[in-house]
Amino acid sequence: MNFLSSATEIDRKEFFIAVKNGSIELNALYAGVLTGICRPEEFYRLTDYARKLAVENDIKFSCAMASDIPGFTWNIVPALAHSGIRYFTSARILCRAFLTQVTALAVQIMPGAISRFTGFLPPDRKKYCSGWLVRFIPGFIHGH
Amino acid sequence: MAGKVYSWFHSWTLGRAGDNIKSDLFAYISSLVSSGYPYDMVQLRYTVNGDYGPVDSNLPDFVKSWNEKYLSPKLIISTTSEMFTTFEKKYGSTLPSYSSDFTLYREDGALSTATELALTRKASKRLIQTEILYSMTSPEKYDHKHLMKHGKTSFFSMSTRGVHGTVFQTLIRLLQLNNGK
Repeated sequence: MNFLSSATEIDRKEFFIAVKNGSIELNALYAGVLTGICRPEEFYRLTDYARKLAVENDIKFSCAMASDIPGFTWNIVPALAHSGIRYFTSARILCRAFLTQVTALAVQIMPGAISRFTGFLPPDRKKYCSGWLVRFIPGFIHGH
Repeated sequence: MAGKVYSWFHSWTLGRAGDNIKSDLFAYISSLVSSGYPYDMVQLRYTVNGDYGPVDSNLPDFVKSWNEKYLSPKLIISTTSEMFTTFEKKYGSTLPSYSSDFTLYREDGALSTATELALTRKASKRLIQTEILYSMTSPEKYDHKHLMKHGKTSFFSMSTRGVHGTVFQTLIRLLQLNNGK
């Protein structure tokens, strides 16, 4: 759902006033993509929408943000830099190797519990799995 | 977020920002201190209702009351650029530099929809070729809507596609192996 595509003109004006006065910040990446399957050209297109908004509304983008993505190819750095993006913040999800190590450990400690838990999980709700594992072994994510 | 995964705040959203996060915050700060985290600021992302959720309308009052009650840590509601700009001014000249792979893995989930992936990549390639042809032959007729089509093809590379195969199947297989299956 794109807010701007359904917003009234008044909503749009108020929104960009908030963006310009710093109450709201727009970050340059429109989508959280898997960079490993992006074509080279697509890297530079990831910030297309930001450039469009910048031109149309006289605003600037200095940051890009991603979330829930385990890693990035190095191409993301020059692609963002060429788009004028100085800062990139990435909040990662657990890496799979680490997740499987922790799961193996959890299986050894409490096999019945984790079997029941994973059996209960809907297949698309992986976030609760990682969250539960975080709480299962307190502190294990430190330094990750 | 230093030493935390993106979803760390999910447990807070059950009751929204309030006393329920006090122990989590103090434990987090203690872990940063004990591990030698060298900076005096750290970013924490926070939304409610899970991933990509909205802002918490309780947050301003919570931060105000927290800062009135505790000397440290001081909470500041900030945008990304404010945080980064402040951080760079303070530590930019002394930040260490590293170069290596920022390992990714979830791309193998794309094989769960290999046909669609191939179609999307072909579409992307054709868009690029079309734009090049426009620029070579008749740039004045260039249709800017093509730009947005690129954005739409990128959506097919969204990060959670195929996650069931790439994460859950790994875990389930591990459990099966553990049970001798």
